[in-house]
Amino acid sequence: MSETAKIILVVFQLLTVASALLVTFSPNILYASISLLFAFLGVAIMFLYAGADFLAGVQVVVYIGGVTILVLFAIMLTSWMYQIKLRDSRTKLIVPLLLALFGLLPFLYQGAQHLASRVLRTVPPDFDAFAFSPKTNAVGEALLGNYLLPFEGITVLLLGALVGAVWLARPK
Amino acid sequence: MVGACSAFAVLPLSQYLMGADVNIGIFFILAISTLVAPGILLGSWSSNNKWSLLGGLRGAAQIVSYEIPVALSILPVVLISGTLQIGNIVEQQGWAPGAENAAAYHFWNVFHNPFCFVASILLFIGGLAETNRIPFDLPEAESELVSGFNTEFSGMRFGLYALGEFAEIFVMSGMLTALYLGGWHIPFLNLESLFIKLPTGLIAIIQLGMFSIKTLSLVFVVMWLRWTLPRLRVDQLMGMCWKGLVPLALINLFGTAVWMWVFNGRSLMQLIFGVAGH
Amino acid sequence: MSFLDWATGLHGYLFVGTILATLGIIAVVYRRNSIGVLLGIELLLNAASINFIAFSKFRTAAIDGQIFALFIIIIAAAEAAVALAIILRLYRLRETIDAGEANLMRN
Repeated sequence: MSETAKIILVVFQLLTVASALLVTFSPNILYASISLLFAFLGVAIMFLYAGADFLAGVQVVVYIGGVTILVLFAIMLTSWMYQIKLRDSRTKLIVPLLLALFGLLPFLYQGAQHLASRVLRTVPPDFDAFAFSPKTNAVGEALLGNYLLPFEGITVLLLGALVGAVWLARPK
Repeated sequence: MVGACSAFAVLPLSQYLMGADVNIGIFFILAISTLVAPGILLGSWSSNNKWSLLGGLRGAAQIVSYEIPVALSILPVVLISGTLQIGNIVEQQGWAPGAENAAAYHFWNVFHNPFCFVASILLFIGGLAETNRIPFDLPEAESELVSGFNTEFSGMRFGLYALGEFAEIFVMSGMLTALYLGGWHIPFLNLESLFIKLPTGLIAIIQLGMFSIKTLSLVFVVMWLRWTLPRLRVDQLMGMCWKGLVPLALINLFGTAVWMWVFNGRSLMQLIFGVAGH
Repeated sequence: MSFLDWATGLHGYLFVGTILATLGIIAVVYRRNSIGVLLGIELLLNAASINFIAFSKFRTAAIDGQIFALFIIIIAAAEAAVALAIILRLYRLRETIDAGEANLMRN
């Protein structure tokens, strides 16, 4: 990868992290869901850089075209427009923050160590060759080969979810 | 707006003129065109106006549901050509009688088999609905919702919405041209193997002209429909999508698969002219 | 090795994944609004698929990680649909989508 490509990837990683922060801490739920859209976009770009081009497409179609729209729909249907109750009521933040610190600390420690030692301990298997190589064909073959049974299971699950969602949201 | 513009990048203008022949070309267009829906939804919400919000909700629901028949009617083409790359798909549609290596090229995908013909019409209808054009322009129905999600916008902001919508029409027509109507190819004529050797630049210009003619005539049909057909109701629209288009598209997909199996991947034209299968 | 190499390598991906997962857990615990909880869950699932993709690229160079990420995305979509149906139901019953108010089972 060239330097420019790397810089672009880092910019999108930063965008992902920043919008994830907004998702969690923005008091306005509408802003949270819009920044979730940008987080999805950043993750899609990261997939693209990791050689998962098909997955990046799926990410955009399913998350941005599906989940975000659904969430926006739900927000707009449940909060009446002229009396906006979008704000989230504050709760104590200390417990989740502690939880988060416990989750994050080991990783931060390891990352810092890694940066400090400045040693690339394991060289990844031909990094650049894998980076932008198309993987759509391979994904398709794997889905109809090794992973046929889980694939069928997923379809049944989707059907169940579809019927269940319709049944739950049916008018009284 | 962004969605519509970046989709132009992968449209094949000619054999030698193409923005970017992305590996997952068609899928990229599909993905990008879904980005329009949040834009409409947010625009309608920020207007703080009942009618605008209704228009935006309608628009988003419509785009999300018509995404399915559109994707399902693109799939037969993918099945036939075995690639998602738009350049390759167009390449395979160039067929002229007497061309060498005739088995690799079939004629326009519309005439590949009867199912493809139906699928192309479905794709056109779905495209109309996704770009909110007239028989399906419920998001901005003047008589019910003033002007829908762009009621409260004016100046450049309205300009962006309108421009995005029209750009999307061009993208949809271009996609239909590339997938089903043979892209830059002139029917029954292979520019590369004429008795005079044409310069590459000239070929590129002729192909660009051909692609533009096909795309613009599709855009003309869209405009033409605008003054011809009345608007549907919301429930009719959704009913048509889920009860009409989706089952038809599924039948098309299945039919194309059976055709490929029975005739060993040969198109109708290849059958008529007796070309051996792959 | 420079910062750019670190950030675009395995550790960069894992770092973003960890931050997303952490923020997702915080959102699930901290948000009262049930739609906010759903957003947190989406972040968590995304973090998981980032990890799958990163390891599939940098460690094995095989396709399996991508398949798993694909399944995660599909399940996330199904889960979002069901969750939103439940939220709409809750709103119709209770006129609120506050997760703390959903206590019909309590008495």
